[in-house]
Amino acid sequence: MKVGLEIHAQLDTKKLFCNCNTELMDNPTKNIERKLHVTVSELEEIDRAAFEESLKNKKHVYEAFDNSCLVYLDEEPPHNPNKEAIETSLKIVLLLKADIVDQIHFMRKIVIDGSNVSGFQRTTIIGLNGVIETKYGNVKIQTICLEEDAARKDREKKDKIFWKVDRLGTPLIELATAPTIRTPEQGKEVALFIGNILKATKKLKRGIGTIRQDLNISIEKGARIEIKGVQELNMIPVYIKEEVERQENLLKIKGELQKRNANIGDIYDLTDLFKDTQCKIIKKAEKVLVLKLENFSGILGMEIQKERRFGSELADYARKYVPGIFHSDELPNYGISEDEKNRVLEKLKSDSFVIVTSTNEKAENALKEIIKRIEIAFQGIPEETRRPLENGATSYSRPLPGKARMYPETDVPPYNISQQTIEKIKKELPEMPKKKKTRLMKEYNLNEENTTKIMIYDPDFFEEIMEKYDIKPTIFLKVAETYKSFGCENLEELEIVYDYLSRDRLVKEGIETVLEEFSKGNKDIDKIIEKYNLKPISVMNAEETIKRIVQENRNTIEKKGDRAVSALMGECMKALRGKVDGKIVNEILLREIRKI
Amino acid sequence: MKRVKVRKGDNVYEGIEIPSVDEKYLVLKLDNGYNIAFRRNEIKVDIIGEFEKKSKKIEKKEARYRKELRDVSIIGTGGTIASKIDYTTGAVYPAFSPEELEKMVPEIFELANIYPREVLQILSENMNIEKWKRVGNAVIEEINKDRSIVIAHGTDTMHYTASFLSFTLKNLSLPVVLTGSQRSSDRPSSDSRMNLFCSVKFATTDYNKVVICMHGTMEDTFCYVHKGVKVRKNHTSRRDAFQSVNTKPVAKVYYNGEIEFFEDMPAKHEKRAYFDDKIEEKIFLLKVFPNIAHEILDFLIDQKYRGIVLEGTGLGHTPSILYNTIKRGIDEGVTFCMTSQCINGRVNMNVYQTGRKLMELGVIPCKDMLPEVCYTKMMHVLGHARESDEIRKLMRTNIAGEIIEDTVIL
Ligand SMILES: [Zn+2]
Repeated sequence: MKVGLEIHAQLDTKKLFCNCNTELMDNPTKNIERKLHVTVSELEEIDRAAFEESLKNKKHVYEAFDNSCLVYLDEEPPHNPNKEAIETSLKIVLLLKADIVDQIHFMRKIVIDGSNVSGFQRTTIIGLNGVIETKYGNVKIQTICLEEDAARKDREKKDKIFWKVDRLGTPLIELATAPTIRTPEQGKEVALFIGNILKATKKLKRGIGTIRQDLNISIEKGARIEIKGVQELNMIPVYIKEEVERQENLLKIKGELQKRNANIGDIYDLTDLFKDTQCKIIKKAEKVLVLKLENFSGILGMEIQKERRFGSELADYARKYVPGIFHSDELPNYGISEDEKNRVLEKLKSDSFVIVTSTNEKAENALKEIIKRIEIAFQGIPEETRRPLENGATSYSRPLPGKARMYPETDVPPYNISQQTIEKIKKELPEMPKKKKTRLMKEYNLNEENTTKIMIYDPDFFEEIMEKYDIKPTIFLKVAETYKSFGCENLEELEIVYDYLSRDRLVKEGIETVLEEFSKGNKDIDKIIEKYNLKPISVMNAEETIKRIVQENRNTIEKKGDRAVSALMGECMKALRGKVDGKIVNEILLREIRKI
Repeated sequence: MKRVKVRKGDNVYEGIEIPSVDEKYLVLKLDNGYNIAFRRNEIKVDIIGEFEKKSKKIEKKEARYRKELRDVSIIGTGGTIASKIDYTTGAVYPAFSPEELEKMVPEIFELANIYPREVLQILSENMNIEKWKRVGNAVIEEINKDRSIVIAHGTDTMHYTASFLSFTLKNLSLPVVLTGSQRSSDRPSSDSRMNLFCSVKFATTDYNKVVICMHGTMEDTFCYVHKGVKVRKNHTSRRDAFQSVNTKPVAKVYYNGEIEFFEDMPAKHEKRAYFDDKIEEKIFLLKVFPNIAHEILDFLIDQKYRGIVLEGTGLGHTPSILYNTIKRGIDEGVTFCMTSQCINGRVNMNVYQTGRKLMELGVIPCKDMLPEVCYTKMMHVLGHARESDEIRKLMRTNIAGEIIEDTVIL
């Protein structure tokens, strides 16, 4: 098994080649429609992925905002590279003990899926040959690149793809390890280690999707597979294990197909056969095309990965044209009867088949893709880019791109990195994660498990909260992790919760409710506490006592108004001393007085 | 180029050494496509072999002539519209053989029979009269073979060339379309493809004048066709930099090939087309500005400039400090023409004292003519006329569409 890791992380600076902000925005105000063309290069062959994209002949609609500038609409040459982004990259290179280039040369890397308005991504190598130490041995970091993030795909409509340009040009750090990761667990450790180093720069964007991991996995006799966009570190070992299993099973299928002398037959139009079918999908379809397969029985339904069968791989390939397929190993099902299945088998004089329904043209194209995939199964495993699924399995997204065409970005002059710059950055280097972890353990008396969690989450934020509020590290973790489980990471919102907890304004049991409401967009914590009754009992009791005292002193209050607080405070404290904090008593008292 | 091994400390890097602008650095193209650079005095370099570029031979194809299509000659002058990139060094060079053009823009071969002809290989800022003459003569040779013309031109001075050709190409029977690109043709998003497509499409019409055809908006949906004497580059970088001034464009050409005309087709010429090469070279284009000194004008007169286009302020004014020098020039036979640096609108020298004074001195008000157009028109007019009355009459008479008597609300 060979595994390499590629990590992309967004930097929290201005855009790489202009001065625009990199915040994501809603409500674009301008639409700009463009077409991209592939220029056939003399030097290199059009790479497979690029060619497949160009075949689609799509129009791209770029959604811009009132303050979008011309650079990232490809209407103006790039400005000078963002200094902060370059210096942050240099920090990372130094932390990884890598070799720094003396002069930065930006390149144009052709990307024609539309995600870059210009049709290329600007990218450069800042450092090479870094190294990280793991318990399973050293792993080499081959390259550390600084590049532009792509536009966000918004939606697709017929022949048009809509992209938001707010993210385009956000500086991205890309680190690629050598394919020397030997175990699934090591994969996770490497990702964790690199993630911590990146975070230590404090220049990383926060939030979901700001760090993306790609896994490159291959096994002996198998193929190189890239799993793109893994976000959950804990899932890395699972994806690796599942992919190894998938490849092993596909190799088994290859052997079985050859042994059985399996065969791909012709395509039949069996629309009439399904005239009276109960299957809703077939009923709606214009055409029912069936691909005859010989000696595939049991193979189509063979599980190759968690909840994925060989048939699922075929369905992935057909997806460009149809939403799904039926194969004989899963029938009868979906309203297709035993009788219908048998009639098809009889008609084909075979043991297996694949059904595709749609218009004639789409169904035919889908079957062509399926045939292409089955033909590969006789040879082995196709090189692919795959999409991670939640359960640890993956689905096909496109052929593995060949080496992208790359050439110098002549609009950006080479950028010299002087010895002075490096000396200056060396002085600003943050504490290395390993050192930091040891210090946190000691300083806050933490166990190994919790320290690791804090390191993954955000050690700087942790220290900031510990300094400001009187709460336990375990509570810090509980709040942060709960909010993350709702898909949120807003630190200001978290801080409100820490504040309330530390001042005894919210019971620990209420953490989850408050955060759930936050995640739904209800951000008024007082209202939430009121609604769900999440106050500590002591506070509730205090409220009753204060209400009583206020009622008894209506006359004083009517005379003095707010100033009655000082008059009544003494009486309240006498009743509540030792039970509730004076500040809270003061607040409640004022509130109750104002009600009168 | 050489394949080299570079040692820096403990690390060794292998790749192709590519030319570096700064000699202090060695630039290395790694096998992964990236360029990296190191200071030469900190590395050790070993040559390990020659780098041979695998240049694929382009197959010569027999051009398939289609009788039902018009013939269009594409004249190359340089610029980025028809250029290829050397992916190793990033250097751009023209690609003008029919085979190369067909590879880059196959769709134009469906619109017309295409005849590429490379006349110049220059950046358009280096355009000059001698080069204009070569272009003008080449256009006539091609027109006389019954071919429409598309001129691929750098965008910087394209409107000067368009205007020059508008005055000097006589009896045109077919369209002469200038086009270029604002985004280099190596990038997938380049505007060159649509510009070339729409230009060739427009060249197959009967609009027998010199025009510029470029992107109409920032989008890849249509091009505008502008009269060669009523157009200007009004933006440094946008695709829709070229705009008609004081008038509507001639037509819209959509990327699907449809054409929408905003005016009638011009009259046909029965006589043979020719290039009028009688040109006066000593013409100057002078922008007037606060604090301008008269010595500069004295110098131009001393240098025997025969015509000076003033790009005046507002309705057509100069500071009074220039009056005496202008008078001296006119006395010595220099022609002064007035245009406005406002670009939009027309000069009117009756409204203020200054304008009236300048007219009294003999400065010719040039109506709604663009300064650049006035400049090329003067080259042409002074190439023919000597008498000041005749010059005045010609400068104020519409020759190629450069004067529109009433500016309409657009
Ligand atoms: Zn910007």
